[in-house]
Amino acid sequence: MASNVGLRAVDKTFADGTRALDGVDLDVPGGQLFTVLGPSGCGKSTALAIIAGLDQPTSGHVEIDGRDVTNLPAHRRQVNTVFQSYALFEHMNVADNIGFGLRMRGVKKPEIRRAVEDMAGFLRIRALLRSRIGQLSGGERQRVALARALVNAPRVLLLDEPLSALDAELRTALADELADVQRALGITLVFVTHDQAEAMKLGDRMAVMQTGRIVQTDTPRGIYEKPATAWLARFMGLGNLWPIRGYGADGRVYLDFTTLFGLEAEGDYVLVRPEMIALTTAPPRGPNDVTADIVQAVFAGPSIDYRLHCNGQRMRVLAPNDGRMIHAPGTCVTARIPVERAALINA
Amino acid sequence: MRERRPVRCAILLLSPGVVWILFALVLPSVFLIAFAFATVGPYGLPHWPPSVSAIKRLAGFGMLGWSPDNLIILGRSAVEAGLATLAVIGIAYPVAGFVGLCSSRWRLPLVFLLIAPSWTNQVVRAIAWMNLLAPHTPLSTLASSLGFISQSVGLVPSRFAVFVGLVYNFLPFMVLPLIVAFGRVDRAQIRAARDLYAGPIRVFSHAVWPQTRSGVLIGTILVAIPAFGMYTVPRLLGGGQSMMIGEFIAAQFAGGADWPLGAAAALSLMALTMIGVAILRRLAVESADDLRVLL
Repeated sequence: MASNVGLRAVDKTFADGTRALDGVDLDVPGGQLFTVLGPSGCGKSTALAIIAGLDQPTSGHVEIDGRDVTNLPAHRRQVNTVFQSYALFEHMNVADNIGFGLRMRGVKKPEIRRAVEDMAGFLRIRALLRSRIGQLSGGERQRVALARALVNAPRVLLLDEPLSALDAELRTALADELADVQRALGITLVFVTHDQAEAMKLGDRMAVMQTGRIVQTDTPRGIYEKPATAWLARFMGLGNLWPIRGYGADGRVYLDFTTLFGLEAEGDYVLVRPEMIALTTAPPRGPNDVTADIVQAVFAGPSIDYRLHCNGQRMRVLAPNDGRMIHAPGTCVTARIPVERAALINA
Repeated sequence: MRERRPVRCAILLLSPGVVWILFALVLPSVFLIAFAFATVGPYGLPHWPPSVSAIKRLAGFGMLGWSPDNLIILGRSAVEAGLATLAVIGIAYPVAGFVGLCSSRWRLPLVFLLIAPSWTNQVVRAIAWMNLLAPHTPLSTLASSLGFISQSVGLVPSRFAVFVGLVYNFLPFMVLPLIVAFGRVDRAQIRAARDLYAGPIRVFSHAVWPQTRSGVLIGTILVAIPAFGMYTVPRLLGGGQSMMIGEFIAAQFAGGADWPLGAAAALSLMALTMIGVAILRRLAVESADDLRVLL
């Protein structure tokens, strides 16, 4: 039922000379929810269109279940897409939209009706079947687009930023629902998004793209904890990426504003995530304690988002809101930098 | 005082439009209706008391019994305008599809090339076609060698020349709304249709045509109705042998003056036009929003 998908050294250069994909290798394991994350224009939608067969790669191969399908047209691949704008047919009602794929494949009318009703029941849009597309809300359109793709029983379902047009609350609800659908049907699902949190929350595995290349493929945790490049660390919004200026004896690492002790590996940057740094009003004790001034303290509900200055270096700390005191701007505090959990990043 | 100011302001702002509508639309229409129900007097001028004689004569019930001549002119106008509109759609649709789907870099120069000819006066363009279709020109020679016409006659004047002139004249009015329609086509729908197993023909019928249909309807309103009442092209290229309603009306006010008959013909032209618009409007009700704004 579920298929694995592979892209092998795929290049895509458009007629106007834009290089959308540059040697992309991708392995999507069967039956997983795989997210592709990247800023707009990084080529992630193009990669999706090439898997669907809607675009042809300039060079390289597309594999589905190990079989080369590069030259197989879209209508002969068991792959369906949910488009960013949904691309529903405005002149048809909901039922005809959902049944479109089956109709094009010449399935008999009573069978189409049954399949459409089953799928509408599964996605809880049965009441909408006679509605026109113009009458639907964004969330309803999203469900119809999903039903229109799923009713064809694809082996791989591709979703191109399917939630980006929705408001935050609906987004979260539909993202959860999408994960449920994927688990229930056990199909392979490739989900493209520019939202870091969405990509991590939904993905069993994820790939991050930048200017037509894949920067890293890993589990969300792997990418969060050990981003492959400084760009990726910044893109993931992890904060506190400090350039390394030199190494000394006994694992000393010289930074612009302090020296850290006990870092084993080598790299160009030290990445210390803001939620790992502890703040205290006690004086420094350990070798990796630094004094810093609170510049700004933003109350964000479950956490307090602090901006600090430490010998001219900016530092961000995300402290859990444990109901105790919030450090006021101007306060001098001690920041404990946990080197054992810091990551060393290459440029 | 303060509460009345917005009202005064509104009256002031609306008055140019109201005055214009009054003098350019309402008043002439009242005259037209009045003349249509007058009797013809000396020199063809309208005379009172009112009567329906002009309407009767228009339908062919004159002094000399019934003759359908006038109705034939009306029918010929409708057929001529209808055929020209169909041909214009046939030419404009693929052209607009090409231009509309072109990258924006090429679209502007192509649109420019398409509308540049219409900056020349339509009389001049009709005369140009007179010359192009005259005897012993390449087109006439080709037509006679293929046996469509005898030598020395030329393609003009003829109903065919009127047809060519109408198509040429009205092409931009169909192409432009269609380019707009094609430019706004949601390409994701085309991709969705391909993704859902549709071949090229069904991609067109399910994803392209429904999105461009309104452009065809707008173009039809802009082409068919003016073509129906067109004066210059049939006058210059038809040579009076195949008179159309516009020529007929003009003739009643000039040469063989008969103002009541001309007014009656103009009135029935207006009525038929309104019926045509009503039919197109009904067709458009289920179509895109932009057309509803126009009607």
